[in-house]
Amino acid sequence: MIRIEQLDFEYPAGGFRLRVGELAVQSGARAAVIGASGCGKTTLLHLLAGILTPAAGTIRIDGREITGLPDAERRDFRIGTVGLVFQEFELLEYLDVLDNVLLPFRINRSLHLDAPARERARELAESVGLGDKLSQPVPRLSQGERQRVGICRALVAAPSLILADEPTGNLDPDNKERALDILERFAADRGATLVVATHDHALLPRFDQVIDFAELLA
Amino acid sequence: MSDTLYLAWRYMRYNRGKTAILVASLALLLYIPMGLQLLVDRTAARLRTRADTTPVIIGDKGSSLDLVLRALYFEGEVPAAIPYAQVTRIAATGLADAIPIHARFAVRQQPVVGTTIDYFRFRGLATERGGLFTGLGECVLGAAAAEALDAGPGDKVVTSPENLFDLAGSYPLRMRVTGVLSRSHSPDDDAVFVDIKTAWVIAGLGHGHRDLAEKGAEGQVLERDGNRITANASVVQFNEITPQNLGSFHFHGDRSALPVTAVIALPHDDKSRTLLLGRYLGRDEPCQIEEPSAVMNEVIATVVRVRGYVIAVALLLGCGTLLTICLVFLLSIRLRRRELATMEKIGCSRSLVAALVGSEAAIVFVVALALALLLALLTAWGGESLIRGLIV
Repeated sequence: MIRIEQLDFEYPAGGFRLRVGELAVQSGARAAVIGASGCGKTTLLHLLAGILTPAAGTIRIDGREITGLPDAERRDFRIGTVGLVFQEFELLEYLDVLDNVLLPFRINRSLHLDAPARERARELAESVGLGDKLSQPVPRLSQGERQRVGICRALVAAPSLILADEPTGNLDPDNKERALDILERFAADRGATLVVATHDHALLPRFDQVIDFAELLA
Repeated sequence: MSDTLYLAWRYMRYNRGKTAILVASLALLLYIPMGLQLLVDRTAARLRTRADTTPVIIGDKGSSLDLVLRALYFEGEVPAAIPYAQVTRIAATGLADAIPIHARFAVRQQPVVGTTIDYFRFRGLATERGGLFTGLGECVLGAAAAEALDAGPGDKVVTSPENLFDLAGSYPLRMRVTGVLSRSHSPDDDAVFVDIKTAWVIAGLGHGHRDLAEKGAEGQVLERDGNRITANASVVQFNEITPQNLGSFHFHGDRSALPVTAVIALPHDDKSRTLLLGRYLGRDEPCQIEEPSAVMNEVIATVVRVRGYVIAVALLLGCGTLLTICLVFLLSIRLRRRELATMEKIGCSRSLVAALVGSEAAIVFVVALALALLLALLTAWGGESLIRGLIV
């Protein structure tokens, strides 16, 4: 379960401040975060992931208070608990598909890149239709395929919280549906919580909970 | 391979053009001072070894460097010749043994060295195949010369004309190879050794031709005046010395006036050496006497001084190159800011990001260092003749 209380965050350079009184998302729920551009959706996701730390308030993920954790522990928490999906995929173009999926294992020592991990990455890639493209360089992939690689990378460490920032923003309607299907299927299979920031109101019926920034910040 | 190194390697492989330029720049930066140092040290050592084992050289009063280079390495300008009488003069002093060297001609690229059997004893040279020359028109090949000419005992080699357009110059002489020397890793390996008299024949100072007194030679006689016979222009001169025509070979004039490039003097002891050096100090003395080690030390000192300047310039250029390489890395990090930020978002620590960039720099440095070492080794292996060529 995600629980936010009296959150107060401001970027060091100033200019934008995010205040959230109370917010809760049940474990295993599918939540959509909507709001105008620049309202703080990405900031909220980064706070939930422990990338940013608030000036005040608390964030608890499955009962664990993450705002007070030291940097290293917050990183370990993030890599072990949170799967991040980005709007512009953020893949490393010098790695092939499989290496991009396995990237979390290569950049954090709390995860061990062993044979089961490789097997899991392969199965994941196969399950999203990338089984025959494991050794393809990323620049040769289509937009939809790239986002599927990004989703696999977010899911490979079996996170209990998936945070997706505009995951369908750069995709055509078919790929949009497919990407969300994958995220939802994985979340349902693993009992993971899914939080998706989106502009696309047509997608809202797919979610259990809608967090509207217009109401949240009111 | 560690994950950091693996990621660094993949990044560099993907950007192989940029990486290759960085490696090449850094390799050159490392190679120039390293290669130069190695090259000069090895060359100096080898030049010194040859010079130190040659006590004294006597030759024409000209460039002492030309004299030493020609007498020791059979390279460079051919100094003016001195008369063979200098050989007998030195021997007559009783202070030293004298070995004549006449190194003016060539068989293709291999220098022809006219000398005596004493030279082989002095240099400790022995034949690997065949034997030493025993007469006129025979030669012994150094190991490298035998390879270059693809010749061995029993084969024939022909001297090269000095100037194709000089009709009065020396004519090619076909010589029989009697043996090939064991490799000595010295300039002797490249030489074609002949007896000093054969060298004079190559110079056109000795020759053999058909006996005009014999029957059937009337067509080549211009004039007969009693026992005096003058040949016409059709007289045949031999271009090969064979057992059949050996007897017809002869030298005109005084043998003591025939030329040698240099004389290697082997003093019996230090006192003899000093006395011999003193004999050649007179103002009217037509020859100069040189201690090769002193001449080569002077040359090496100059080379070392030049090396110092080159290294100083290379270091200055190197600093510039290094700063440029640093700039390339910094710009590269800037261009990759988004990629590195993504890694941090996913869960990579800043120290690991730094290690990743550091690994890339380390790979570039290690590969460049290996390349520079390889180049330096190649230079040390094949660069001695290059630097000797530069001196010459």
